[in-house]
Amino acid sequence: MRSFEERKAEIFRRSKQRINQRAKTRKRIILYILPMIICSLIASAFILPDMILEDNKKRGEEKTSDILISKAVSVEVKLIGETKFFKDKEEVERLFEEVTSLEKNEAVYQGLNSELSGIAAYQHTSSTGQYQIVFNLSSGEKVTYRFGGGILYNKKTNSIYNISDNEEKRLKAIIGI
Amino acid sequence: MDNGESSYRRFLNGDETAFDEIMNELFDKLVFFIDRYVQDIYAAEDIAIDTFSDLLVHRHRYNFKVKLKTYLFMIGRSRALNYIKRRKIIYFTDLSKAEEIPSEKDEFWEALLADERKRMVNEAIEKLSGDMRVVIHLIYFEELSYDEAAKVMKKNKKQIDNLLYRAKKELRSILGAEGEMLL
Repeated sequence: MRSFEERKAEIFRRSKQRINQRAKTRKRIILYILPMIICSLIASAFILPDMILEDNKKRGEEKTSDILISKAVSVEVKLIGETKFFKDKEEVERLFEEVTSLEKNEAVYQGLNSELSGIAAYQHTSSTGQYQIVFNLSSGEKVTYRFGGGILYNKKTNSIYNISDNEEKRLKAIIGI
Repeated sequence: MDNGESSYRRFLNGDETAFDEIMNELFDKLVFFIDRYVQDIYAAEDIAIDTFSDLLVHRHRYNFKVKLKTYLFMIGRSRALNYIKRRKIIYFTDLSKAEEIPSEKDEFWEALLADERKRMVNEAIEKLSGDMRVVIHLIYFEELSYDEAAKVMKKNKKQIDNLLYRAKKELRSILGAEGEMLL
């Protein structure tokens, strides 16, 4: 067994070694881990918002594709003061395809969930959307669109799309107005 | 000497000789205690050195709420248990046992246990199982209170009481009629 002096020397040697090791670890943390955390914070601050936007867009598209899966069986077109009701299979399909194809246009708002965005969408459509199309789907679900004044509004996905004059005219022609 | 607290305070204030006092007072006791767990005097000495180096590395971790002796024994126990866990994976052979040379352990104990009564109990303790060995050591050899022993062993007072009762019972059967007088 060790003598008193040997033990004391060993205790001081080991403690010095451990203190140095701790200092090294601390240095390593400052040198490598802290910059990594800062980088990831910066990256998340710049990249995450874009990713969230993209995700919202995808969700919007998924909702549209959900509609496309179940077919429309009848359409009600509400104009000011009157309601047109379509039941002919070909007419319904044509109108349905036309309207859903317009959703590929540039979106003004898409996949909006917040209350503020909903109000904005309402203001945008209430002033200009004079026509309301309600598709009755085979699943029993109803999908409502409003259009007019160069925009198409999907009430289900709460999205607004720009449509050209020609597209609007074509839509009106199919409805017969 | 108040089990090292005042010396440790002086050491923290820069008095290097105070550390010698703590070592003189507590090092051998710590080795003796750790040996109850590891059953290897050299390993116990090594662990005690590590335990004391803990005191130097984390100077302000000891808060003076318990005795310095209790604090050191707590660290020593935890280090001893770690050592036992590691020893299960790597098997060590005590050189003195392997070559059948007389162990320094006996000399160490003889120096530490001047009392004949304690020496006899010490021999019997070796035959007890783990926790019983430790609790007898803390209460009879180190003269710690039940509370302090409970802190070191991370048990409550009732558990210490039960453990001590069973340990005494077993010791009586080991020591026989002679032992009745010793306990």
